[in-house]
Amino acid sequence: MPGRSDAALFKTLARILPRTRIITDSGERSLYDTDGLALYRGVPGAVLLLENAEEVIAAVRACHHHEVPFVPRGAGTGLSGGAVPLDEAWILDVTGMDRIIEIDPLESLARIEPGVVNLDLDRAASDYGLRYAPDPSSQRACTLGGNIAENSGGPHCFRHGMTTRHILALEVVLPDGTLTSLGSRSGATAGPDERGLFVGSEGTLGIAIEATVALIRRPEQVRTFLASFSSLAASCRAVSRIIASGARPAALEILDRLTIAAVEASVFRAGYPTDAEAVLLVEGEGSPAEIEEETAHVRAACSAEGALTFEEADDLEARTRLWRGRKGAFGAMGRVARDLYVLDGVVPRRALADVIEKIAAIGKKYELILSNVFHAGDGNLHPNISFDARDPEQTTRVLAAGAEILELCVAAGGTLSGEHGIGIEKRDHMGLVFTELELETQTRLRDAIDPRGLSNPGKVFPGGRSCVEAGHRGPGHAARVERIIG
Amino acid sequence: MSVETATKSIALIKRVLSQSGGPTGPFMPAGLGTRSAPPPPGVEPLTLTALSGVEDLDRDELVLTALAGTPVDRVAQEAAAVGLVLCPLIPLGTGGTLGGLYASGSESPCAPVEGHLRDAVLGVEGLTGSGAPIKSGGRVVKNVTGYDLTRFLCGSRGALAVITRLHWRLRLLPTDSIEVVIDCPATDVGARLRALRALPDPTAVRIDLNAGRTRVRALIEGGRPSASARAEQLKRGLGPGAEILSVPDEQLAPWLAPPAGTREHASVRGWIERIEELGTQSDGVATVFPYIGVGTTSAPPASAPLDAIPFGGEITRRVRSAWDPEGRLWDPHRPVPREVLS
Amino acid sequence: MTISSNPMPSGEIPGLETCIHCGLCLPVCPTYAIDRRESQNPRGRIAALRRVSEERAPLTPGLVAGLEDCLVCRACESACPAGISMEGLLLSHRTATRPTHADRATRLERWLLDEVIAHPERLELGLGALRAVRGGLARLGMRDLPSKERLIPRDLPDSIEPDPGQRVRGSVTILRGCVTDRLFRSETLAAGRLLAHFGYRVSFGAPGCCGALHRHAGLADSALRLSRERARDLLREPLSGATHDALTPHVIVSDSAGCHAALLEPLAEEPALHDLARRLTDTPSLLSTLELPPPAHPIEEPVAFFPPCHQSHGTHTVSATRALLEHVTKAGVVDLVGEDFCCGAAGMYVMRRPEKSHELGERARERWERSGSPRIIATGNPGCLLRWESLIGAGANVEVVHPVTLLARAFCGPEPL
Repeated sequence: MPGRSDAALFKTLARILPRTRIITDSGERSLYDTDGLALYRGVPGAVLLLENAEEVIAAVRACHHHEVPFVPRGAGTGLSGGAVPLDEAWILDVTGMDRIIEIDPLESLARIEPGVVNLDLDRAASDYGLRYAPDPSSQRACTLGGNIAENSGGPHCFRHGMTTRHILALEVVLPDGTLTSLGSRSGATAGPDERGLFVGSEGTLGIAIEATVALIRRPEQVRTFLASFSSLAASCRAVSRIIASGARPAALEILDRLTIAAVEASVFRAGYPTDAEAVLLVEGEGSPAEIEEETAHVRAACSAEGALTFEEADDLEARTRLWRGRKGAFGAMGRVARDLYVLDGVVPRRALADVIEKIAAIGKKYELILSNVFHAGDGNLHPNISFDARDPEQTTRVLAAGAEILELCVAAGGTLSGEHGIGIEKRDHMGLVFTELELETQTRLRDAIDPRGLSNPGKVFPGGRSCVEAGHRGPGHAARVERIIG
Repeated sequence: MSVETATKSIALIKRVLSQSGGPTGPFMPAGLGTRSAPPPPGVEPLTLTALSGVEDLDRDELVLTALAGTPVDRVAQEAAAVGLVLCPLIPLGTGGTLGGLYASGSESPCAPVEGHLRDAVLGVEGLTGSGAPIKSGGRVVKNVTGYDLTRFLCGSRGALAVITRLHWRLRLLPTDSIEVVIDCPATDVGARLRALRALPDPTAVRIDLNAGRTRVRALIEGGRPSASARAEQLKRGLGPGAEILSVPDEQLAPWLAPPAGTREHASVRGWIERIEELGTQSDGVATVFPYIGVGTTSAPPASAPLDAIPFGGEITRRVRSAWDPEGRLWDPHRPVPREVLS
Repeated sequence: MTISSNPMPSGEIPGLETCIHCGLCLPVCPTYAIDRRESQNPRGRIAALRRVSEERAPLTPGLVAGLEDCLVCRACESACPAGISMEGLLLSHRTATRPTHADRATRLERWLLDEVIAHPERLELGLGALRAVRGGLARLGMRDLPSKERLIPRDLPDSIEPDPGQRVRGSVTILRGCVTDRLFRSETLAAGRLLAHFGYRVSFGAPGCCGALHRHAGLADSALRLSRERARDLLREPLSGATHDALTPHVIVSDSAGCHAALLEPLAEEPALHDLARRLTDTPSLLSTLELPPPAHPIEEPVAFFPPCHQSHGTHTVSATRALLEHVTKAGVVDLVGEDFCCGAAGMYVMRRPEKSHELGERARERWERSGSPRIIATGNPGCLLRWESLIGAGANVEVVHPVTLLARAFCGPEPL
């Protein structure tokens, strides 16, 4: 092989795709240099706007032939730098593949293309009394292809499980262009669960061109409660009490004071009490009798921890408002500072209160604006650091604080990521969880699927060969390029 | 000739797999032998039953850690002692070892509500065929750190890895179980399933066919007032003739496990057709879990030999050759060499 | 630690700092729906502006296209948790770059705005000329032309007295506008009849442009001059000797969502404009403060309601209009199914970007068809009215109306000839 040739790749693809769907304009390419995480950037060699499976297959095969690395991309809302192209990889954008191919109410499933937006599928399913359960905060915008790559979570995953639980089957193009089918319409697998391996592989094992996903019945009744507390720790302890009582609410979410303030100042104003240190959002779903039983437990748990208020949303509108506030929380943090670093660590539930306190201390130590909004039921923390990526000194502090928080989570018996993935962000922290030999087992697997290392290079595993541009791009900013060479 | 390699420690297994002298395999990791056929000729069993013990059971965090050779019933007993049950709903009387349950990838009939078996396992440790360490997941419920080998190896039947340790999710033990049943001709099963689909999902749905008659059975976990309310709702939804029965504890494991027979896979729609077809045969017998696509039938056993049973695809093939280039673990695909057969 | 004050240094264009690219604006952006490239969505446009403002990087042709293609429909503003004003960003950018980035369509747009529309007498001449050549243009395939009827304006009185027997509630001046005054006089009159019916003394003021189109075209100076002129006209004491309820301040009504929204944007250091914005409302919002009787002549057929973008995301008066329409219809209001994207009219956009505009129009028509093709379509903005009239086509048994026309019909009876 002659080695990488972008020019030859362009020539090959120009025969397949209309010129308007191959983006080479340098300015336009630069818009693809980041995803929902502002810390890392990399400009793609080109962007391909793909509209059907045949085009994806052809594009992957051409990239493989010409040894050009590529990154699958949906809406670019990921939070670990997973869709950031390193090594001037080409972006294979599948947002145009947004067909819901079928919805089968008897089998309770849907077949979709990877560019379908999460909420659009849920809306379409609602016509049949069904729903798609995983609901990341970005569900209005994020694509299911991205959800599959990252094994996305969301508030309701506390009861219903992560994305992987809801993916029954996948049609996949491996990085060398080989087509393969994973899983089955019933979700059963013959032999190893290849489907389970692919979900959450962060684009490093190829691209899904079609998915069969499980739909579940919409609950008979939904009730949403909001409790407020005078300390964050008390709200965490209330969550432990709720779970110990045997109640299984659909969601248990906590927002802290700063987050409440940002949300209340935004169009997603939810009516959270701004004088509380924390609010706990609890949603019960099921039959009226079931929820009634659970509510008693929830109420008792909250009052045992000295809840300041405990209110129920009166109607659909009030419930929607409570949730809009929660789901707009990340975006609303733009009111605090220009950039936001959303961390994603997991700890055992009983460690929540303690870890939250230690995280606050880390924020203080590094003089950073730190807020918390998290999936308390799963022990999945999202400490948010508001900062300005243009300030290299501040960015350094942000990264140092992030690293300390991750160490803290792992030391408490938790892990690096509950739902955002490793991406670029945490690849160099993998050593906190795995030994070198354990990591080698995983990279051997990746190399077996992608011997040329073309599919989303530089992600997940430490010491990648790829260069990462950290922080802000502009001239005049000293920390512009940080080369991390393994 | 078959040398049984009893393994008491993970270090010993590692030595067996990576040593150049001594027995070279291929090995088939084995538990109590309840879920797999005995090793084909030329394949040595690597018996893991000595690798046994519940290392930790955390009642608050609802997770336990156990060695792979621990009998499922022992684990279930320890969990039940503190009012818990292994997810998805693995009752006493399930049999076999925890590692065997995991590696055989048994489908749980409770999948639509509780998730598949693979969703209940939070983490796994093991060794590749060349003795390299495998680690994935852990003891927290949400974990996307690294590749999800925890799910990948579920159902890998000892051909990709030797499983040594598992972290398993627990939940509260149902205080009792009830089922809503309705008897109907095989031709009515479609209508019953459609009616069920419009109702809140029960924990599991099972259809028993015998000589043209079928019984549609929906399992509900009871003990709370809301469970009886749900049972009443299902009963009304299934129409006249439906009744509510109690499922005694010792009946729960047989309820959730299909009896021996020819295993078949089909969609809900496929099973409706299949049951109608089997219903016309006077000796038609079947036990079907339609929502998870599996069942056993009295159809003549498939003539396919063991090595032709599908076992993964391209990804499995590639991972196998990368993790185990010397083929120390058995290969369900590979036809048994002629000389071994003789 | 406060939320309102941003501790970070700001770039040249205010508002750029607050985007943390959460992406919630993507699904509501009409241009992104038809062209899935990052430069065609709000997140990409902000990133492009950041390049210019923070990095002094040049705008490449692809980025220019993305910025120029923005409809300024403001749907992203309602979706943005950080509260970014896309309109503000885009207008600052256009104001700064129009002189240098002017393609032929843009130059024509500027000429029309500054040399024709800003001058009532020239607009009169221009529309007269259009009347003469309309048939020819239509035969050439030009879309979105006003109907022949619209090009022959009806007479408008100076004022209308409150209906006899009604308690006098106050006085209202209706903003006549420029193009609105020439092409939508029936609607202006309908609003007058309706308000008089409910006891308002109505005056119509002088015609004139409020500068909304100029703002969107980046002609900030013209926009400011024109809006000052309108404020001066409108805030003049109402009819001399008027006796209105002293407790009710003099109200100004604009039923053209685009003009209404533009005049609400408070322009710094223009107290007169602040006062105008404070008194400004639209007819349905004003009426919704009253206890309304059942309509004497209820609308029998279902009404498809298409809220103009600037009503949804600018004036925020959709619910009042919708509630009143619901009040006067027997068969109810039909909300169009699907994404409520801009119909593509978007002021001068229809002229500047005809292909994209047309594609969005077709999507709007599909939404209406999927909603059961209700025979009455109500929308409260001149551009949207022309767009829907053009989408439905002459001769079709479908009526495109302004909500105030329906309300006047329901409460006051058929229009007098």
